[in-house]
Amino acid sequence: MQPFDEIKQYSKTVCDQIRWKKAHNIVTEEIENHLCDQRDAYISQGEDEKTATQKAILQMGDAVSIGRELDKIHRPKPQWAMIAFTAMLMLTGMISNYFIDSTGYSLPGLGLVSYIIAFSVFLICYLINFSFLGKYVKECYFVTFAALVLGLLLGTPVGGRIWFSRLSVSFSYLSLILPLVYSLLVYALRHKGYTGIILCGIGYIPFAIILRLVPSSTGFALFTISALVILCLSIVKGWFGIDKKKGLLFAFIPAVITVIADVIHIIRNPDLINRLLIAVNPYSDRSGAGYAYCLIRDLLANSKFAGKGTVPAQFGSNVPVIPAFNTDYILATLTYNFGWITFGGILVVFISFSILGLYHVAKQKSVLGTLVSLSVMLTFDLQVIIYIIFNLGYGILPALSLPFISYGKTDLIINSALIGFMLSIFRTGSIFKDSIKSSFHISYEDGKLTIALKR
Amino acid sequence: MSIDKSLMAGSTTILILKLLEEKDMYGYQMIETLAQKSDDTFNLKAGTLYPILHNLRDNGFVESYEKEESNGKVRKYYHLTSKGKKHLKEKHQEWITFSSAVNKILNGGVSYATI
Repeated sequence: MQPFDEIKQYSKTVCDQIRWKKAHNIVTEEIENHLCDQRDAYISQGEDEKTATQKAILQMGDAVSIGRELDKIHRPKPQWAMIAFTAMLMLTGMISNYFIDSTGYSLPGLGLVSYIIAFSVFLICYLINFSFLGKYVKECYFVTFAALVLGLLLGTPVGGRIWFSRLSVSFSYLSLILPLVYSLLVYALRHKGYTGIILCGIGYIPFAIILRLVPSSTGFALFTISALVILCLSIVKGWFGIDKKKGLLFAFIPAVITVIADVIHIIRNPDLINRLLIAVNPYSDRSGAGYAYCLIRDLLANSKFAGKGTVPAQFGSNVPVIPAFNTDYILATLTYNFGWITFGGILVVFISFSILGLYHVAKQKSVLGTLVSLSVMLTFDLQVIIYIIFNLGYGILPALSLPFISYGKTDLIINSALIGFMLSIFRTGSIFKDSIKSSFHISYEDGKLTIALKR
Repeated sequence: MSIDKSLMAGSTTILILKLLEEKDMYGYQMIETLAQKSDDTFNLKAGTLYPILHNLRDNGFVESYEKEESNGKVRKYYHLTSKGKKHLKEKHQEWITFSSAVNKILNGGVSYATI
């Protein structure tokens, strides 16, 4: 057996003891590198290659017992609690849509087909190896950009939003995947220092412009906040390899300029100011633009702790139907019909999911795992926060969706895919290896000289 | 002088953490540095080192990253995290208590005359 084959055989014996096959690569690489270092040290002391290799292997110890020890450490970490929370939210969504839908719109099969598709998408993304995302950053960015441009060109405006009418897909839901795409961009540019930050800023602009061109402003706000958090975290963590304070200035100055420009835009636009004022105080235009907000606030004021709320005096005996009750106001509708206990219960599940999710984001060991899972958690949390504020009768930002619960196939499937990806990261992220900056690589192994110009 | 393996077992983790407190290192470098600093008293087997390192990483006490050396070889470096620094402090204190208790016994027990 050739000396290097002995090293290979040794690392294979170690890996044979580790049941989780995905962990084999990182173990093999580290063991073989160590053996090569040790062998080279013996060679420099005057040993021939064969003896040096055998001594290095002897120094390493028994392959089987090392493998068994590593097997105890390297195990996938399925997050059963988070999977259970996801299933619970889906079930809540399915049951809620059934009970509150007096029109029969989602009655056929309890909307079961949509949830079966969503759960399948969740499972596929959960079982997929998320690391491929890091290899196709450019492709992900440009495909998303192309989809957004196509949406702009071919979409049809309906009810204040743009739709891909043939697919019945609302354009605004595409904003849910933008934080993830942006996290990949930050991941790919993190080695480039200040240039990297500037490029991240440039990469943000096309998405931001498109989201500004189409309703609603929620998509733009969700993407902008997520992008800023992702970029700032990467700078603070030192992944750009630059002075953190200067780096944060690089990120914040354009952000502050954007906010000031937006404020000026709002101040100079009386319609926008009026909309904002109505969102805060809808009673100033009760029968006009403030109608839905007033209705929600009145119904919530008459909601009970448990059970159906009382009818507000001004409505006589009939409560008017809440507009878009199953898409935009499902939480308010559930609260009025079943009591604040329902609101509290759903809130507890969302908060628990969020705390668990952020805890696991903080525990991620790879840059890619941290950035992608953070982007998903931000998307999830911002959707929930905006939706809850909207459902309390404060329409500062229109509701996008309440993940897994509010009615809507596109957001249900996108959220399922995102959460599936995130849980896949939590399950297998411990063995993921970030790419390193390298464009020129020379190695000598087993009598062969390898020059890799691109890796 | 060679040291009994069972004596080494309890202190290996603290020695590794202490090495990483000084600077980031890769596995082979840790074994070499440990042997050098202890005048070859601590001759740690690589097979013992890696399960400990992977366990420390799993617990968040160390983190690893890859770095390309000037010869093109890619090495996995380990870095002590702030959680690891805190753990080292606790383990160090534990070790001081333990070793001083052992020393007291070996030196004939606590002298109650001085209490």
